[in-house]
Amino acid sequence: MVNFTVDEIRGLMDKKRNIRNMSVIAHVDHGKSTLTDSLVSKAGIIAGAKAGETRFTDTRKDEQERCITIKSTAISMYFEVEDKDLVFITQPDQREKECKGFLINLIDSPGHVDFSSEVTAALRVTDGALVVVDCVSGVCVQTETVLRQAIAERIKPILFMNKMDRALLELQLDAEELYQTFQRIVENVNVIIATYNDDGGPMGEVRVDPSRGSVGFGSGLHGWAFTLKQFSEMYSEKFKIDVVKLMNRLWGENFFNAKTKKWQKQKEADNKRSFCMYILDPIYKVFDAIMNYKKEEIGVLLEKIGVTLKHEDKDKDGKALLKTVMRTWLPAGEALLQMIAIHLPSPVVAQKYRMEMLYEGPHDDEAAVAVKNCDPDGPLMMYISKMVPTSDKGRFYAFGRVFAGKVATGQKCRIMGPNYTPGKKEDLYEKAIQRTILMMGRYVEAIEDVPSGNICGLVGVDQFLVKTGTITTFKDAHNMKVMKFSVSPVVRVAVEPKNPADLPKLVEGLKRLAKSDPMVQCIIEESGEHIIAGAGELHLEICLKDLEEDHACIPLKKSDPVVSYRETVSEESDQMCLSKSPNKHNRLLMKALPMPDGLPEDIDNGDVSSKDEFKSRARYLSEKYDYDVTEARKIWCFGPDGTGPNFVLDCTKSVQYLNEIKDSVVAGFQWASKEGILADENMRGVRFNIYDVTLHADAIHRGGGQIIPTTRRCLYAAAITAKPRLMEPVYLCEIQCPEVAVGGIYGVLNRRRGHVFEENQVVGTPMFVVKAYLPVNESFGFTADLRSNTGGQAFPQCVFDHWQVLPGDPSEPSSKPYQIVQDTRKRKGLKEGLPDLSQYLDKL
Amino acid sequence: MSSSATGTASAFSSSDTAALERNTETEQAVTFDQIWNENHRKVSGDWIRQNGYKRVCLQFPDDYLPHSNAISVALTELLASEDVKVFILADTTYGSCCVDEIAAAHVEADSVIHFGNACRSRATRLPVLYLYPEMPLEVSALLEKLQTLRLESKEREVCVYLDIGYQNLEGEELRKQLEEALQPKNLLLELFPPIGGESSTNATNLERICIFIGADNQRFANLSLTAPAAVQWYVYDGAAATLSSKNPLTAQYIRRRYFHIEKCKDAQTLGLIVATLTAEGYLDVVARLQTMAKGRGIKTQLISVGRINPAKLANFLEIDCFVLIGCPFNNMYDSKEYYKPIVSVFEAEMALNPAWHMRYPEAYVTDFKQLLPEGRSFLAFDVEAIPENDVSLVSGKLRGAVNESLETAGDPASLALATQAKMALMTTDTGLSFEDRTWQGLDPALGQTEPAQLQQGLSGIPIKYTHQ
Repeated sequence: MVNFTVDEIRGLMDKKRNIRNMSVIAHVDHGKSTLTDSLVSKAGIIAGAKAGETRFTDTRKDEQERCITIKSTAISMYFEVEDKDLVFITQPDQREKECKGFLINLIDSPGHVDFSSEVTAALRVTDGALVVVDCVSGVCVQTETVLRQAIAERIKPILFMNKMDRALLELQLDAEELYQTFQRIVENVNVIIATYNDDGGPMGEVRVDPSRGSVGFGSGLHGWAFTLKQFSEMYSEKFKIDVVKLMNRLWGENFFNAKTKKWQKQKEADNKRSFCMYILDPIYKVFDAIMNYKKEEIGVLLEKIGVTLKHEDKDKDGKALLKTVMRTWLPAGEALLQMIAIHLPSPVVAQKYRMEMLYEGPHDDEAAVAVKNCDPDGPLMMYISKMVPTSDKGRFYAFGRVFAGKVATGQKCRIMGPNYTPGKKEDLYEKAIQRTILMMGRYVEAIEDVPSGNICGLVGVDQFLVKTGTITTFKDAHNMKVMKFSVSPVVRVAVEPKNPADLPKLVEGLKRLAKSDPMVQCIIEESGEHIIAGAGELHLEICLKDLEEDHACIPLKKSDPVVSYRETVSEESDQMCLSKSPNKHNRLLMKALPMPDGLPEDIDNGDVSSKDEFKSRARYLSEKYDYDVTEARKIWCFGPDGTGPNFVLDCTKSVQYLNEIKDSVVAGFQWASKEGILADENMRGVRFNIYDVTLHADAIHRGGGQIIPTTRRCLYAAAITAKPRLMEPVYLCEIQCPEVAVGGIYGVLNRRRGHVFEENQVVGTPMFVVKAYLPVNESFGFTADLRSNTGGQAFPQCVFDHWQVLPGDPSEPSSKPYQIVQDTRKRKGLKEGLPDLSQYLDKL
Repeated sequence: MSSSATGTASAFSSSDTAALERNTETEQAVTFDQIWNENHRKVSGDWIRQNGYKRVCLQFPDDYLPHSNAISVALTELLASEDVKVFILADTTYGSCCVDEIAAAHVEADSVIHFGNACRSRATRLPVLYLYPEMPLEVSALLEKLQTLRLESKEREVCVYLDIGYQNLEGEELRKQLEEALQPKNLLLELFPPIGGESSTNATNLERICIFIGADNQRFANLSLTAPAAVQWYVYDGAAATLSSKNPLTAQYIRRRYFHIEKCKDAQTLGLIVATLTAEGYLDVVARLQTMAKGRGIKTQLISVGRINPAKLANFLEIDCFVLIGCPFNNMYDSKEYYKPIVSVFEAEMALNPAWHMRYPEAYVTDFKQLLPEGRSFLAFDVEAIPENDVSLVSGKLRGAVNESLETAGDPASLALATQAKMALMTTDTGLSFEDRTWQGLDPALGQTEPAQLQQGLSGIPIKYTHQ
């Protein structure tokens, strides 16, 4: 039975210090959803016996079938924390006086790297993260990625070592080995945290520490878990030591000599590590007794640990008994709840230091102050992080977090999309909220209103937002910052309906798909292709399935996956390129040259951007890339789309009317940098210098009509004469496998133009981690290929890393780039062959 | 410039040269006899005499011009007794397929004789006589080739279209011969372009075969797009006496145009290019497009620039998409040279009229008259049906209807701007894009420069000013 009502939850929503918003994050297959079950069952939503198998938060059919989480799922739960545990919460802003009830809003997120945009969306609306690590495989690639993201968003982590049952039953590690494994994982995690967090920063110290109880151990599948606090409480009576002091003794270099009854700091012959002695030994004994069917011992042990078996459990033995005993002795829900309540921040605490990361506007305006104080009486500030499909096709719940004020059914709000700028009307709507709802995994519950610090869903907002947005009642509010994803959509497929007359349905379906996933891009290309772009093969597979079955509901034809390329140049133009306007009265002179290494990435990351103050940007460019300061001050624009990694530099000297044609040149440059000369792909890393301009004296003869097409031609001419090259996207690929499989990995990578740049043994395990760069174009079918070549022992994780020049000259008909250019042109319905310089270059 | 084969292929691809080729597309060379024989002479003479026209314009496409003088002389001689003045129209404003009534009006003509390729858009101002060339066609060779299709055409409906140049062949005799050769279930014989601009028959059977007797030229492209779906198209080239099969490309073409339709929906400002001044109903189409755009909060600008080219259109920086309102043969531009996309009236209709939402056209419509009330493809426009919001598949952004609650909010700043604008001679209210420009004209530097003192100016005439 669910042991709380919606009214109870609504009551708690006002007690903002007793709220914990948290996400569960980890590497794929480390057991997030399984562990989450323990909490869900403690809340009474599913039966205790089913916990670990139900994966309640995997709500989709394909999630259950594939045993992989695809979408993040939110659930709100009510718990009561006992008085003896409440005293551990010392900070006044972490709990309300006289209130035992805690509201936990939990988001279970997917672990597969292809879905990490879901993780990003989950982190944005939560304040704390439960990082789950499989203690057998240790800290993996994705653990690091999500942890890094969490720290960057100022999300406080706590750690959970999962799958202890496997360590004991399968690997049969002895106690000291197991301790060393734990110790190493904690260290690894803390190293990552230390790399990305400054201890002196606003979040303070966020290291995880078992002796403080912020690290849990256990098995999600079996439903048991503990922190040092639990054991410390058991022993504190016996030792007459304070619980907190004892917790410190139970971890690290603390040894107890049973004979002398003395604590020691070093390992000696007759002492034993306290963690092994007091914590692991009892657990090992229980495991040993039950798994080896030592009937008498079991009885004695059960009495010692204070577990009385229920009547119906008496007949069980082996694993079933083990499960029952362990989850009665060390219930996972309890341990997790304490970790969450004690160590994760309440919204009141978290929003103080998160506000400056969240809000784009001035940090002292009304909205900012309300967010900072988590003020339910301030103006409404809510961030919508994703859209959750409803049972009504084509409609979505807007899911997000109320950072300030209250959101209520029927309330009139301003809905601001990511392109909204204060004072303008673009991307701004004023509408009433139809309904506010509480997300409960696979169910929703209607709720009257939701105050600050809580997570909820809204009905009737989806039409006004694409994927994310800000909802406010404050007229001068700025946007909440847009999320930055760690993956990019580099893999694309083209789809078309099997029956051409279904085209409108496909278009409608694509629009729905674009909404339902935080990252997928659905685009119509000029060639008439309908493109879906995703992070990887699995992501695309899921998107296509959703499109076919849920959004468009029509049979589709799919192309093979293709990657998008970028066009760049490799040298400075070998001649000054001149183009004349159609009326022959205006002349432009330009050259193209490649940007120095690292600059395109700086532009991608926003370190160099069109919004920078031009003097400081010029200084940065001259210091880091040796640009001439006076030249670097005259960057006209970035492109494509005003922000891309190419720019136009004005190198002219005293040209008349130059400022008048700037807009036309910018327009022509946006156009040309979006549709490059080789294959109509975006340009990347190209710098164009304008050296001289001759203009007609009459304004009408140097208007946009004359300058825009001419700029484009001149830019193309400059690109053609600067040895154009293609760039392809490259994955960073991490593969974990046993030593025997390493050889097979090298073979597969070599065949696919990949190269290994790092190979490490995971300390304390027989596993190896191989890191390699792999062109995305060669990655299709890579996972399957790798598995078949390593007997299924290698598991790759690929994430887009960088762009790399594809070796070879696209103008050589025998080269690979030439082939790619021709294929792309053909696909886009362009004239095949190579661009003809004489079409773009004019003579004086 | 182009052989007719590449001319058609370009209609289906966005090749850079497509527009160029189409603009200068020439028919296969014609001889004087083909465009001016006894038959032509008789028809035109009778037409002028019967109606008593006194000032007749002869309109020729460019490649007929060498023969124009001879024809003019012949006609003058023929009508010597009637006191008829004959003029030659050479430079046409939009396309040689349209009757150039404006040019004819310059000489105050009372009638026009139009030679060569014609779109047969109904002219509103002047009576027109269309004279097509008469090309030689060996009917026996045609029938021989068509017999190879007999297997396919059996049990199916077959539609045979006659291109201009072969329309003089139409008649019961040809029909009988064709029926014998093809032995179809049902045979339709039609002229293309149809007289009066409208096809007489409607598709009764989707499983039909269409044969075009003419050449693989722009008219065929137009016909194959607009005709109701067919299983297979065949083109019989009259000059070369060859038969070739063509796949129906409507679906592929429409799919390609969907990109431009999306662009049109995205536009904040639409430019309506009027590229015909004769075709009946063009003002109604303009009005209709303006209403539909307004319903979606899209601004429109009406422009007329004569024959369009990239440089002319790129002068309209703030326009996001152009709609070309032209005759059926002159409204599809698919060139990459243009800075902003150009869509046809039909595509604009698909983008702007909510009735087209979730609807797939059976055939492409090149004749905008069909989109007006009483037209075949007319769908009523209902402002209420415009979806409040929609995601663009080009930019990935949301586009929405006018947000009324905000429009009426009226903060003082916007009021101030409005009063200022009233004093100006001309206002452009294209909004956003203008604000984003860096160059907004000369800076008046109000309040920073001293106002100049009024001074007594010069008066009188320059020889001797009176004020001195």
